[in-house]
Amino acid sequence: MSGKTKIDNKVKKLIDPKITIRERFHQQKWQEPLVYDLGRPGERGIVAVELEPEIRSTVGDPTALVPAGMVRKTPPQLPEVAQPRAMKHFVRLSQETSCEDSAIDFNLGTCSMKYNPKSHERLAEMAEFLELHPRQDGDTVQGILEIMYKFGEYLKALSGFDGVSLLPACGSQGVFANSLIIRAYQEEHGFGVDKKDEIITTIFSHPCNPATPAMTGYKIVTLYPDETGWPSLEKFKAAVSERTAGLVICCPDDTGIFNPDIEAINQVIHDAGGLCILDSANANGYFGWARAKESGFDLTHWNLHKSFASPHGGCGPGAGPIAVREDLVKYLPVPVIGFDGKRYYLDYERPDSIGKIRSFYGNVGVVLRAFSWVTSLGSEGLKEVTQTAVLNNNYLRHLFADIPQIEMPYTTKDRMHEIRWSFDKVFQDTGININQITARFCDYGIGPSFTSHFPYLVPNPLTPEPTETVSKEELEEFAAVVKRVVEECYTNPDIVKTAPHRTSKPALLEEDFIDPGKIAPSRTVWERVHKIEN
Amino acid sequence: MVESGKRVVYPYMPNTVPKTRTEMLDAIGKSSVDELFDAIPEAIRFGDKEMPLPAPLSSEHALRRYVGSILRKNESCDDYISFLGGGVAQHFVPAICDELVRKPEWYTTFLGFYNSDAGKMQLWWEFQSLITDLVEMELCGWPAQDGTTASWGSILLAGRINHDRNEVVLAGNINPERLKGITEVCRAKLDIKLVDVDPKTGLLDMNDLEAKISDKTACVYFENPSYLGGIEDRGDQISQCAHDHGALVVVSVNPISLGLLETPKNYGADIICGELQSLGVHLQYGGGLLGFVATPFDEQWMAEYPYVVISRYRTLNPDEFGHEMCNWATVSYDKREESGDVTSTNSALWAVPVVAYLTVMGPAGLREVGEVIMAKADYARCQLSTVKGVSLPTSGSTPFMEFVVNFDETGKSVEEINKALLQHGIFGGHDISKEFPQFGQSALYCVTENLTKSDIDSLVVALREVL
Repeated sequence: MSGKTKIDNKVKKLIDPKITIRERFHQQKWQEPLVYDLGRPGERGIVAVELEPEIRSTVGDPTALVPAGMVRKTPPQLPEVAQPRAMKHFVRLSQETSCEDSAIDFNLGTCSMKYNPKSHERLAEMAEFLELHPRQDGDTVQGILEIMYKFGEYLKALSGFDGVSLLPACGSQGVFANSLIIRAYQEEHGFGVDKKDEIITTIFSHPCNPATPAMTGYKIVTLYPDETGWPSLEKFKAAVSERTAGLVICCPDDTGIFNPDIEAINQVIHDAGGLCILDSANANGYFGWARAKESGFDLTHWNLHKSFASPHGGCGPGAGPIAVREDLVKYLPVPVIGFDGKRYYLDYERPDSIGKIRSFYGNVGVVLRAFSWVTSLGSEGLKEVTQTAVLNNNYLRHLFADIPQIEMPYTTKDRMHEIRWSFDKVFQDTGININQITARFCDYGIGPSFTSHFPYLVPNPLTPEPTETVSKEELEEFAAVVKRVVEECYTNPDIVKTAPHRTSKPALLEEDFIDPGKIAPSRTVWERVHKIEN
Repeated sequence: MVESGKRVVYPYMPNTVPKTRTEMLDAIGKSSVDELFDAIPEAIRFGDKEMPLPAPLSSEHALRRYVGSILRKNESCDDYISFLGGGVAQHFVPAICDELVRKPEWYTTFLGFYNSDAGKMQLWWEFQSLITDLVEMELCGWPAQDGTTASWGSILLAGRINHDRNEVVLAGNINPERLKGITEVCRAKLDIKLVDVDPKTGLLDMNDLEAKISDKTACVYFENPSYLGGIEDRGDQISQCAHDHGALVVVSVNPISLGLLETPKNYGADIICGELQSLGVHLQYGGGLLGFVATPFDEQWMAEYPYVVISRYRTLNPDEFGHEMCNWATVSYDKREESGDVTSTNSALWAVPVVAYLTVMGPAGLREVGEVIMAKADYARCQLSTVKGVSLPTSGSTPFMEFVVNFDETGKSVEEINKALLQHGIFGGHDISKEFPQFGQSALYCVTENLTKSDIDSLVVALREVL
């Protein structure tokens, strides 16, 4: 790969050799059976509800009410287990899972793993939120509507845009909604997908950036980086044509590079009649330092479960609210939260709206937490989030200079919130790949790692993203673990190749794992594939 | 937030302590943090301006008082007797569901990987298995973001399996908002044909189905029980009609009915999807949603399945098994624009209470809750039919949990009636007069296991007063 630069290594002994590495870390391992194998026939975990005798005497046998042929003939094969054993089961499985609140988890980059304030959790547990039905009378939900409206105003301040929708339930739904808005805008201006049918993106933009415009009916033009790490302005000019409907791009992207030509690139798209979407999944790299509007974009979305400290929930619920410039507001999904000076309301009277991609108003609990987060920080605090995150990343980069076998690809020196590192030299020297290396990290109490989205443009990649909640000590501990594992690749390769040794993971049978015929996504298929008698 | 010298120290940002900050800047050879942002072109740099946000509430005490005081302006289904449904409803949530969902091991992780998260991988596999057992299918993966996402995901999936066809026949009795979503999402690939609704049952009109279906139909989609509440007992006929034309059958089902009601698999469904909120998840103003998509299992279904799937595997130890993602290469994480759908952050946290719910309920508990709902809904329907001016237009079908109540003869609108019911501490049924104008001034009443006989009787008394 061309364009690699060695890290500036003027400072010596960057990683303090006295740092304590968790040599005797060990995750709990329970050898826990499947939930199906617990209990004995006839056991039950709860008596949830009982029918009142007065109703039974009025309506008779409820089963007799069911239309002929619609009574279930074979009960679903669900567990029969008393509650104490069921509880142990789920707690044990949780103990075989690393998390932000226990492990060093920022190695799962592009995900902005950060501390989830517990005060927000207590607020989200209030019955005045938890038990709100989305179809309640507006007078009974003024509080939650106020929070949603005010959060929309926050997002306008963060983007410079004029209208907001909180509906999308995750980042990909945010990009999807924005793609649908581009389609609606282009169609209204006489450019249906028969005329403008291309969306431009870059390979370092997230997978949903091409996937969701494709679902909208667009062909995707993907640009690859130069030695700098980003596609040149000339590449965008060459890709643009009268068929260009728009652009979707992350900025900064997953290499942590803030594209210096972003304003000019957006202008090229605009000159061709296209609209520009900023995927703000990497907002931790720009809060307070840049906004979508001034950068020349027309639409954006955020990942509240990443940048805004709302919990990731194990893979959701997330939220991907969008914001758009003034002339695109009419296309926003319904409803939009309105305020008439006295009362908050749901506005459905929007004839040009793209409609819905998800039920009701989005993942409101995630919005509530994100509202609490921004309220606690204000403008200066948000800026401090990004400043601290970028400082942390550059401090980690400084520490990594102590590990000459790992390299920072591409010539662009300035990096924001994360860097896609290459461990390819380690692989070339030892034959140990990044997946084996990250497995070994886990033996030292490091959580899951993110290598890279596909395709692997950076060979043997790793993308740690030390967010603002990571301490200096944790950065140093992580760097010391990386250094140790890289050394082990040379001095004790087998221990890396067979890792992890101290987590609950059992070693899978390799011949099964690579055989599609052994895939078993459910109990029934498992029993069939392995000829297990029920 | 504590002032320390000139710098503000933030409790969730340890490296804002001035001494720490200085040490780190010194180490990287920068005199100020601003230098780290030189990469942002000056013309678009926002650094010196302030975003127009309110002054921060820095202390936890002030924040909780402020946000809590806004939330306390709400009144919830705990304060009122709620007959609201239409896709989600207040169900009984077992305590074990709440206990588990609060564990940091579940809520402060992201997708995670096998090396460090074997427990979560097992839980996800158990989720897939319990859902497939519930509906008697064989393939299920990560949850969808909600039931509507699962609906359009299932229809797009049917379009990929039946890839030479470009039409979808949809039952006209589905939630109009969901219909809007399906139409907008699918229109790049599939045209929507809507089947008329039989006004006496609220179910689809079989004659119109037969008229709309053709050899261009990729799939027929209907819901059971329907949005209007009735149990569709002609599933066999609908499936036969679809299959005769080479179309697939997609059924969205309410899972809490499946201890009592037959699974759509046994009346011909090829894809079963639905909204799982009823199984142990709180309403959260429509935020407590998660969908599922369950299908048959073979190479083709695996190749087209839109979400990440976990497989169970043998390990080096004969008495131990492992669980790991198995289709990363065929979903959008890898295939990008070639995938035809998108897999992403979903509603994984709610899979925890769903798995706990199905586990503690078991087959007996699920059957019981189905019976309780069915009986209470029937009781409510009978009682309401005694109120003067009230009629039940879709009484030609059997409701499971919801049914249409018409107020035309009272001369009052549903909006007026529901406003009046609020004064009696009751959330009346969801107003469908705009969604389904053919039913006049009608509301969709939902009776879950959460309500008592006394709650239902209170509604009847209040309505007699209000009407």
